Amino acid sequence: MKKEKTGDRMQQAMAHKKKRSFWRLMVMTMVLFAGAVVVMQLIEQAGNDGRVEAGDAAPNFKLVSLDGATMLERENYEGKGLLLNFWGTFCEPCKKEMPVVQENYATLQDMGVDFWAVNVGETPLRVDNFVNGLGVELDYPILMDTRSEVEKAYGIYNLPVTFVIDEDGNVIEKYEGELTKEKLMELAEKSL
Amino acid sequence: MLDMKYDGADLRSKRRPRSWVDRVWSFFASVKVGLWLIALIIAGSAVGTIFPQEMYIPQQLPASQYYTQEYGSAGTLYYTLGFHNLYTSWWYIGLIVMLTLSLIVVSIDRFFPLYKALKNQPVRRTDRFMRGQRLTGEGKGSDEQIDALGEALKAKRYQVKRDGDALLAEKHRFGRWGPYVNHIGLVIFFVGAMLRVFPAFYTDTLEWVREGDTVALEATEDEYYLRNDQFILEMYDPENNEEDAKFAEAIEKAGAVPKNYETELTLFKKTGTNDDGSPVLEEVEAGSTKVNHPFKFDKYEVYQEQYSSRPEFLSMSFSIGDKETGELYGPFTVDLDNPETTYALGEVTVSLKDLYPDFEVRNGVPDTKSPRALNPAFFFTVDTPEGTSETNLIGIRMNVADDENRYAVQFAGTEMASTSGLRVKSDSTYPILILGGTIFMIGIVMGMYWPHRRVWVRRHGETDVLVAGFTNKNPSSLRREVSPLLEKAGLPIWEDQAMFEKQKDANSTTERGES
Repeated sequence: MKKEKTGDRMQQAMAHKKKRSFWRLMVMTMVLFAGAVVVMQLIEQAGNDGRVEAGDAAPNFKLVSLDGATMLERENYEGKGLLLNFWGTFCEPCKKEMPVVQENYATLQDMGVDFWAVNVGETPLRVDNFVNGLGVELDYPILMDTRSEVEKAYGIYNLPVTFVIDEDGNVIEKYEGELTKEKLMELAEKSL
Repeated sequence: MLDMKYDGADLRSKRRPRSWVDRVWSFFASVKVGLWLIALIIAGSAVGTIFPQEMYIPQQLPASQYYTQEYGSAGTLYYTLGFHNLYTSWWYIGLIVMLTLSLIVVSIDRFFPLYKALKNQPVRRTDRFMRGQRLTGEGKGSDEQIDALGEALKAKRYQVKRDGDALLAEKHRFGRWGPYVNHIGLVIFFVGAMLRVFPAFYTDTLEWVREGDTVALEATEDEYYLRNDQFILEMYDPENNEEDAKFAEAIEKAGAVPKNYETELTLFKKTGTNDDGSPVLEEVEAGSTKVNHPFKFDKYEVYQEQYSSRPEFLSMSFSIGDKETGELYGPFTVDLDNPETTYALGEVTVSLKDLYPDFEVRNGVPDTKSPRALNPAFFFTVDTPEGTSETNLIGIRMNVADDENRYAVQFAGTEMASTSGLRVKSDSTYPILILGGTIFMIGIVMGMYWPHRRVWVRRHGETDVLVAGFTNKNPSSLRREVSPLLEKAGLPIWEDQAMFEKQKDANSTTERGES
């Protein structure tokens, strides 16, 4: 009789201990989990300084072309890949890369890749004069970001910069610098 | 002497750990570990103040170069170890999380055993327990004397319990909960502080808004827009303002002294999107923000923080003078954001052929340095009534025109716009921080000002009485309070054992009183 009683007690103590271990584990897991969430959020924010980078979704925008004839919206783009370029007339490498892009634009289009060149908040007058002064006719669309909103949304810092965007609207690569023929083709391949 | 910490209760973490869960638990339940964590956090925080944090360094240079350039190899080390972003570094947050865990574990580990021990404490204690207290005494005494002491203690607002001839008088037990209340406050405070990493609780962005411009506020996820109606920079003016004249001497010494930085603004809410992608805005309210007097809306505050010292040109006006007749045509105004290209002025027609917002000559041709209208220059052609066309390049302190031109382009005025740097902030963690801080303070006060005092009395043998006293703080004040009562009741006076033996009783660590 007495033996049974102690056995009972042992069992009770064991069950109690198990329950306690469970709660200890719960408390510690919950606190550490909350801590992990905070750290993850921090790491995410450290990478997100308001600039669109490779791996991010490309923000949507709607812009009117320089000639005022067409309006393009990122989300409505139906081709395969897209090279989204930002440029200004005051930027020397931008000026150099434009004829290169024009030369290869037909090839890009055959690949199913389009090239959109967004001007960063300049007047149509200035851009028009600049484009006319290039000496080559540009077939690809020049988009006018007159309110600098798209520039802000993409967090543009250095010019020129080209975002490689895939079919699903994700940024595959962000390339800062002048485009050469090789670079342009490489980026176009990546967008597919 | 007995170890009366946690009233001799059996601390869970002090039992021999069995599973790994218990081992981790014991680790965090250790006060030593907690103190180490606090020491590391303090040391880390101190190091973080040696050089400025990244958010306070000038933005011209990336942080990777700035610290090296400014502080040499110490700066490089500082940057490499992540001290430039200390308070949001993963290891700093990690330490805080571990401290939070330690506080919670320590509290659970200690509170429950202590609570049970105090709740179920017996009135009658063993001789050994009584003699093991810091304040203890033995001598002649009777039941009547114990009764009398009980009454006297009640008058001092002790809670008196009797068990036959034994007496337990107790007051301010709740003071023992002070540390746990204080821990709860700290945990709430840390939780509040950590919630600041989530944009839903805390946002902080700087928006540059030019006068007349409307910008989407990133902090509100573009739900709200702000228009800068006017930026005001007032200087102290001792000559024209009587109030300011008082400071004339000081102002003369210091030069121009700004009196007020203010931005008048209008708040809009986005209600939809137009076909061309522009937002449909509905005016909410107009207001202004001054230094230290933010403009408030929703949960946000807009602070006047900076302004651009180089105002931009919004528009420029010109008139055309006929050198032969002296007649003046115009003036006409060129909007620099959205310029018209032809201006018909009666006899003459002016065409704007090009516009360089930030003029420079590059490679021998006119060009622009940036898209900002800081130093605009205009390329005009003037079509004369004779059918000829004259060219002019006009800029600030610059007029390149053919000497033979009949018509001269003259400045007639400018409209400039300043740019305000507005800090848009929201912080919903304040109530949490205040709550945590308040609870923390309440806990501190509870523990500091309400020492737990207990007095035990019991018969020992036929004629003798044992008296013992315990307090977790300030034993001499317990003595001062109760010794006169003992004396009055004719009971033996207790002695402070610690006065005689500074060293801990060797037994006290192994035998933790009775529980």
